[in-house]
Formats: sequence, structure tokens, C-alpha cells
Amino acid sequence: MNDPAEDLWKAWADGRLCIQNCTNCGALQHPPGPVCASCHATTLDLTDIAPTGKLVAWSTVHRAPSPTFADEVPYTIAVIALDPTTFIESRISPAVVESDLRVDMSVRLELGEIGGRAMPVVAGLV
Amino acid sequence: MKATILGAGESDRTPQPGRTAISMAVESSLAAISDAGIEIGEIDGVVTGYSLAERHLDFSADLAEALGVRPLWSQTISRSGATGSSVVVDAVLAVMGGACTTALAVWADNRVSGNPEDMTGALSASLNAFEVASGPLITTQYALIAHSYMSRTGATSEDLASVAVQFRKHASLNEAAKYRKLITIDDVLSSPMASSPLHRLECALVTDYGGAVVVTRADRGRQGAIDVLGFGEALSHSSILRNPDLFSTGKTAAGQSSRSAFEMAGVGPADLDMAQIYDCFTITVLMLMEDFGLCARGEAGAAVRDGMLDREGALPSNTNGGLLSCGSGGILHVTEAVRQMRGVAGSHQLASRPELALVHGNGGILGAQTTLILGRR
Ligand SMILES: [Zn+2]
Repeated sequence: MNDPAEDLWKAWADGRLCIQNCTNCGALQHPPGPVCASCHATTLDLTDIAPTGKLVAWSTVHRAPSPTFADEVPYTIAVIALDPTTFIESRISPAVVESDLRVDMSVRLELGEIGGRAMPVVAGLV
Repeated sequence: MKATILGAGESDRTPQPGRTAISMAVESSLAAISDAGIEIGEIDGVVTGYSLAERHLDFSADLAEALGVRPLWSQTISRSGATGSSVVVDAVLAVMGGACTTALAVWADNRVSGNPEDMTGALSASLNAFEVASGPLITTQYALIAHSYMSRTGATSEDLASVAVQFRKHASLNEAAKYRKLITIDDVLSSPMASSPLHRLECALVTDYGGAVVVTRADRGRQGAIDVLGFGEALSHSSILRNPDLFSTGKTAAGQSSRSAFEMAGVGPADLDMAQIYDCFTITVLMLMEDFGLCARGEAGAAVRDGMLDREGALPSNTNGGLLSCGSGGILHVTEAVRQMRGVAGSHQLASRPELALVHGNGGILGAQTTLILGRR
């Protein structure tokens, strides 16, 4: 069995905007795992996603948790819903003005690099 | 009735060079044994929490050996912040199940004296890798949930801050609390932002701590014992991203754990006359209050501002000052409840000894929940 986390990191690093999905019930799942939390099948894969999501919540960090991020503070972290039950946690691009943010607004996702790692980030508002 | 608590003890929490977690576990255990009025040799069960600052293959084994006992049952558990309440649940299960007769339930850690490294970083790294990747603090994870709660309910930063103000007022009367100077809502809101919308004064302290209780079979209880009338545990998630409820209804598994505990005890939230609620952040208290059914969804902030949790209010809570002003370690919620109910809380003893109390531990990022219902015999 492949490590589902490694598979997703690698796909992102390869430039593929995708998320884990269950080939049995169709549910998306994040963070990825070996078992589908909706139907408990183990038939999990990666599926491409639309480059949009809904902004659920955000928080601005003023002191980095580790040296990896020390040069980046302050930065804003968000929870973004891909569908009503699938959430990712990522950065909001510094180009986005915080006062423009609204809960439930649509945002544009694209692969970016945070702390040296490729991952989907909020690149702008829709 | 399931099992009974004979006594409680706490260690000194003043940091000192070389102060070990085991020494605080021993100090609090001896205090609990003395308060219980039993001999060390009567202990035949030991359950302890984990230490973040000090390495032990099995903390309970090292504590048992330090106390010179050879228990019939022992274990070390890790349930993050809920550990303080869960060591009591496990001790109750052990004596109910016949694995032992009289168990020590202990949690101690030298988080200041024993840990020169940045605890914040170590804790953050324990989140899911897909959370850690964007650089959140533990505080950020709670802040995201707080932001969602506030936007959904209309609760304000003043509502959240009122929790810190309330518990500081309680700490001001407690000689053993770390911070005793009264604060205002403005003080909280003008303290540095930790991770918006949570300010530094809305976050739990980091201190050394040790706490212990002696749990025995109900039939060995006596006058002054505190019965464990009910308990419940529930776990909803490890990663907040896996629990959509946190961002929709704001419900946590504390609804389930408290329901189990209330049902077992045959009481409800309106019957309580004291609560000790895990207060790692201000938001935690508001959400847990609603899960317990103490107030309607979105109304906990108003209830706190109206004085519900005040020592002279409808439900005196976190009477020692809590994690926000007294000291670290969810075990202190347990020891404080027992001491108030036994009438030995000293300078901050409530005017009337509580008869029925709720103690609640929360672990992870609102994932692991443990509720105890305690009754005075
Ligand atoms: Zn499935």
C-alpha cells in the first residue's frame, strides 16, 4: 500500500491540483488516509479538483511556530472548503488584502510553495 | 455509584532548575494519599499521564517505583489535554472492573523547568502534516475555529475576552495561582495578538504542574469522599479538517461525552452547582458550555458576561483561575473540584461547598473530550 500522504505531496509537487477521493463512494477526503471515513473502503485514489473553494475561516500568525516560517511572518492561514465536508488548510497569498475577505466567499486556488513545499494556496478572490 | 475519590493533592508549581516531572508526580501523590487518610501501601493501582518535557518509557512505572509500591494495575496514558480527566476515568474503570482496589490517578510535567526548547514549536509539529505545512501554531487551529464561531454566532472579541477576565478574578483569590492581578476586557484585547482573533491573554499558561487523586471502590468510601457519579468520553477527530461540525454547527464531541456522563449520573446541567472546564483558550470554554447544554448555541459569551461562571454566579467555574490564570495541566481541574467539594480550597474556598460538579477535559484541537460528574457524599 502506498503512503497516501506521500502520494498527494508528490502529485502537488508534480504540478497536479488534486485531492484524495474514494473510488467506492466518491467522497473527497483530506487530510488523506488509508481508509475512507465515509464508507470505510480502502479503494482511495487522487482526483483533479476545480481551482476554486469557499473561504471558511482565517487567522493571521504573528510569531512563527518553527524556523521554517520565521522569515514569512506575519502570514494568514485559512480553512477552505472544497465541498461542504472537505476542507484544506493553507495560506492566503500576501497579494490578497485581508479586509477584502468574507466568510463563504469563493476563492481561487493554485499550487504555490510554502516553507519549500508545493501545495494549493489561495491566490486570489473569484 | 461507581467509584469514589478519597483525596486530592497538588505539587508546588514554582519552576526550579532541575525540577523533574517525576518529583512533582511524587509530591502530588503523597499529598493526595495524605488527604485521603490512607497508607502508601494501600495503593494497588497507578495511572499517570505523559510528560512532554521528560522522557519515560512508562511514566506510571517510574512513579510506582518512586513511591515504593508494586501495583496490580498500572498504565501511562496520552489523551493530550483531556488526559487529566481521563486518568480519573481509567482509575474508575480499573476499580470497577476489579483490576485493583485503590488507584492513584496522576498527571505531572515540568514544562518550564525541564524544557529549554520552545514548547510551542514542539506542539505545533504534532499536528497533521497537511496542517503543519502552512505554518500554524496550535493557537492558530483554535483561532480558525474561534473565527468561524464568531462569524456564525455574532459573538464578539469582548465576549471571548470575558472568559479570561472572569477566571483572572478567581485567580486573584488563589494564593497558588500564577497570575493574580485583576484584568479588564480592554487589557485582554490590548495584549498582543497570538493568532487572530485570539490574543495572548486568551491562551493557557505554560507552567510546571503536578496533581493527583486517590480513587477507590465505592464501598470503601466514607464521609468526605467525592463520588464519581458519571463519566463519558468521546473522540471526533485528530485533524480539525476532518470534522466539518467545527465549522458548521460548532458542536464538538463534548456533547456526547457530557450526555453519557449526565445520563450515568442521572442528573442534568441545571442540577450542577460547580464546573471545572478545560480552558486552554477562551473560545474553548464558550463552545464547551454550549455542548454541555448550559446555554443555547451562540449564547455562551453573553452568559459569561452576565456572570454565570462567577464564584457567586449560577455556576461557579474554574474557581482556581483555570489554565488561563492559575497553571497548566488538566489534572488541576480535577483536584480543584475535589478540594472545593471537600471544603479544603483555602483562600478561594466557595462560600457553600458544592454538592454536584462537572469536570471536563478537552484534548487535541477540540477532538478528545472527557466529562466527569462528581457528587459529595
Ligand atoms: Zn468511500
